[in-house]
Amino acid sequence: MESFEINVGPTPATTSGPLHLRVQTDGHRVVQAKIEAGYLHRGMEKVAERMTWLSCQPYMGRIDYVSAIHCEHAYALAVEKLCGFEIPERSKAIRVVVSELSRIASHLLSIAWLARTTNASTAVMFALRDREKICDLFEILCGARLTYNYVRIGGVSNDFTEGFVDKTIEFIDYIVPKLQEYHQLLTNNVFFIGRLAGVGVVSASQAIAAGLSGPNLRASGVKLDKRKQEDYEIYRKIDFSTPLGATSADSFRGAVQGDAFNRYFVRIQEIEQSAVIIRQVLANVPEGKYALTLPRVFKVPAGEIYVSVESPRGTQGIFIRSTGEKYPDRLRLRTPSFPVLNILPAVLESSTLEDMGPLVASFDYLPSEVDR
Amino acid sequence: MSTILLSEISPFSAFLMSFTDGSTLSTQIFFLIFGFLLFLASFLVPAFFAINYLDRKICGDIQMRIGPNLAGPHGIFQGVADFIKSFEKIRTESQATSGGFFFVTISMAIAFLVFAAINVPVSSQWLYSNVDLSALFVVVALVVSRLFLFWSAYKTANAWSTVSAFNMLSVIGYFLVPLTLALVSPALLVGSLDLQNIALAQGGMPWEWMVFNGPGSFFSFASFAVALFIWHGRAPSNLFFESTSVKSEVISEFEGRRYFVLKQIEVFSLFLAAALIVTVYLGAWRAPFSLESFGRAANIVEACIFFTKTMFVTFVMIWFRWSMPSARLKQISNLSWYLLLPAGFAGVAITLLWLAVSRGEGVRWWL
Repeated sequence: MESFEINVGPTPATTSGPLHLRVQTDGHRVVQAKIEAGYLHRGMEKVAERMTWLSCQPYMGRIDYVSAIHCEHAYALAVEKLCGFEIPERSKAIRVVVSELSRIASHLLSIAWLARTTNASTAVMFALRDREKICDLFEILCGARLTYNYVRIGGVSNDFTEGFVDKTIEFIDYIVPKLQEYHQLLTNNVFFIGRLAGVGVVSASQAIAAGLSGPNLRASGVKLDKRKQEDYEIYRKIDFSTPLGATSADSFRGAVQGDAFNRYFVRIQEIEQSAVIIRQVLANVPEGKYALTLPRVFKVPAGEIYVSVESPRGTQGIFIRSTGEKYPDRLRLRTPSFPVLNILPAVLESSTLEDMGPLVASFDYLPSEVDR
Repeated sequence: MSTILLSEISPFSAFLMSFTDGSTLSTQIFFLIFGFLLFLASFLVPAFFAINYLDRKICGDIQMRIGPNLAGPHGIFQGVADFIKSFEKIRTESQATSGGFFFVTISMAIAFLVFAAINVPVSSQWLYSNVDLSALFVVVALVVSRLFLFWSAYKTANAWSTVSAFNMLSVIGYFLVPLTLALVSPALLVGSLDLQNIALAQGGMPWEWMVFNGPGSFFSFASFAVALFIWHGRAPSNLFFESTSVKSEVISEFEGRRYFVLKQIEVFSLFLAAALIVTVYLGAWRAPFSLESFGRAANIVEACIFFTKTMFVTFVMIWFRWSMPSARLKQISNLSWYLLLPAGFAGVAITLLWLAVSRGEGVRWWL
């Protein structure tokens, strides 16, 4: 069979957004993969420089629309630190709850994409069905289903609405046993393990060198979690673990540390941990105000700061420089999907055409936050 | 004399002609054509629409969706609606797929599938084509049909189609040996490779079916069923009909009604695979009770029995497809070489031993 150059994308089935891969093949084998990113470039960082500190906030949700809370959160934290605000305890608890709900939603979508690339269409439907329930919860809370603009500078936009807490607990009681269904359909499925085990192996040193973070890094065995490492909100007070994927005790035939199966498995384990966190926080939400009152003309003192939070895809960092004006002087984002592009060509070059879909999807790559 | 000739070509046409007095050559030719059309209308078209509907509805149930529910009561006319809609589509013919070549290859791919289907006995009289060694003929017709599909995919010069087309050839190659090997046990037990003879050699009761005819048959049955299941091209082996994944299909260059027609090959293959499994191993159309009092209407009872069994096997296949992700080509080839091939050989060897011991009388002798 002659060598082909195959265009995968610009809208492939592997990612929820445009990613263009030019793949040089030799039969089934991928010889070379060139990545073309930037189809979703909107100039977010430059746009932010023309906005006031407060009107900049809604744009943050658009950077990572799958888990909009986390980018909003990082921005709010950065501005608060620069201003030296101490936000109410209640708003911290609320932020943790919505962050973890958003994390579950994002991981469910990631599992749906991964299942879709392996053609497990029933699992796709199940994951989307469960994610819809979280969208419903957010609709009760803030009226929006995708880009919330809920986390604001100084707190959150509104307190828990009526019925939100009960429905969230109901959802947590529902999703944790429901994970067994995913284990039956995917995790313990011989074909599914066969498709992912040993595919796209990224060693710990490779992952660190490329700058991977979050579940992708933890699947390679590096225990790095910003929720534990950085002291933000009330994560220090919560008892939860950082999953590292399948251990040798689990019998997933052929699965090795850092492969596509472990990246999937870390995510499904993290859903359980997020449920643990939400349960703990909701059991003891402090009373008080849900936000600070900000002045009408809001200015941030001169200075610069870098803050990062743990988003579902990894470290969501934000750098802000202020000159004391109404506008940010410079805003720069460190998005967790970007480092995936460092490692992707190298990983793809040792794979085959049929592994390419699950491989790319296993990184949970989101073009919107790379191109921004 | 002339009626006997027609029954040798087509028992179904001869059966139809037995209702009339005519036996001239022109009557025979008329009944040959009429029989073919009636066979298509009564057997293939309803089965095709039924499976099209069942596939979606069962998929909907498994995925906790409603499934088709608008066209007709419970959406039973969804297949018809899709068929009509396909004629409304704007024909945007690309340079890669224009020309008479594709008309010929696609027509031949479908024609050979029909050739395979008309060799499947639906009842004692309801068998359109009376080819000798029809079991082998069906397998060969299926291969030739896929070769034409491969040819048209390769000619489109689309890289994805070409890769999928080679996948299709690989899968056919891997499973051709286990499939034909699995036909050896029935041939040894019955002494014929004619599907109607194989059907007649079985009984209506489950323990009289070919699958329980000696210990070797079960291995052959497993090999036969899995090979056909993989061959018809749905998950876990959807390496060539795969619209939802990153890879596209062999037919991705075709559009509108040509895409619709080609897409139905998948459904058609599903039905044929189920019909073959039922005919060779699961008792075919044989009724578990006496049909003497029914007269000629016995054919209808037998056809109902055949369709019920076929639909059950189809249901199992549909069920399996919607619960499984697709496998890699390597996994599929391993399944063939490491599991089905040994099982096929074991089936033949054990059947030979069994015949040597039991003189071919199977379970009945042992009981």
